[in-house]
Amino acid sequence: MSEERLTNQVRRMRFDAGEMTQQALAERVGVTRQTIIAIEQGNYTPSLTLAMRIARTFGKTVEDVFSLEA
Amino acid sequence: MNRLQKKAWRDLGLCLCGVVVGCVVFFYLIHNADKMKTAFLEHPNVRLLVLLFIVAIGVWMSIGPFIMKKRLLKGLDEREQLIYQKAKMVSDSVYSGLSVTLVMGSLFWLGIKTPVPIYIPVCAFVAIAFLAEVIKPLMILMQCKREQADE
Repeated sequence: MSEERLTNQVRRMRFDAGEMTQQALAERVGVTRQTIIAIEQGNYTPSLTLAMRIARTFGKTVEDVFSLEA
Repeated sequence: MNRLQKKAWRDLGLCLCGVVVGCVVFFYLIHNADKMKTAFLEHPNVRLLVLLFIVAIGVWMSIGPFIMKKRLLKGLDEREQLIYQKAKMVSDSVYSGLSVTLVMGSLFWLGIKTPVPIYIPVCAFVAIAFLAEVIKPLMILMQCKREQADE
């Protein structure tokens, strides 16, 4: 099986949502700013709960925000 | 400084205090080795006290994390909890690895040639426990430092 990588559109969606800051997003989903940075950089794969919280913040589905790339 | 860093600094401070107290106790033991030996051999209560001390450390190290799990991880988000648990895993590995190799190894090696004073294995176990506990906050602080550099 080829190695798949989880990519995300968090950074783009933050800017689409009126240039929301990392801190503001972090506070809304209940994590630290470092966690948002790690997610945006692809260094941390969030739990399903956190992924759903992030997606809900932007009014999108999890698939819109996160996707698997081969 | 985030919550994880604050927690790591606090843990490191506590460990270093423990190391200082441990060193003082160790030198006191060495200085009064003969008296301790006599007390240990002649008074069953002293033996019982040492045994209870060792058992207490063992019980705390094995059951403590389960009891304290919620309190230890309180206020940390999921990624910070993961970092903490990874650091704890390394710290536990160091403790078990060093305990087996250094303490048991040296006991067997020295035991063949010369009798080992009772305080040596006790102190060695405690020293390794403190060393392992120091590794945990250090790992967390290094991880936080690396993340801050990536920002």
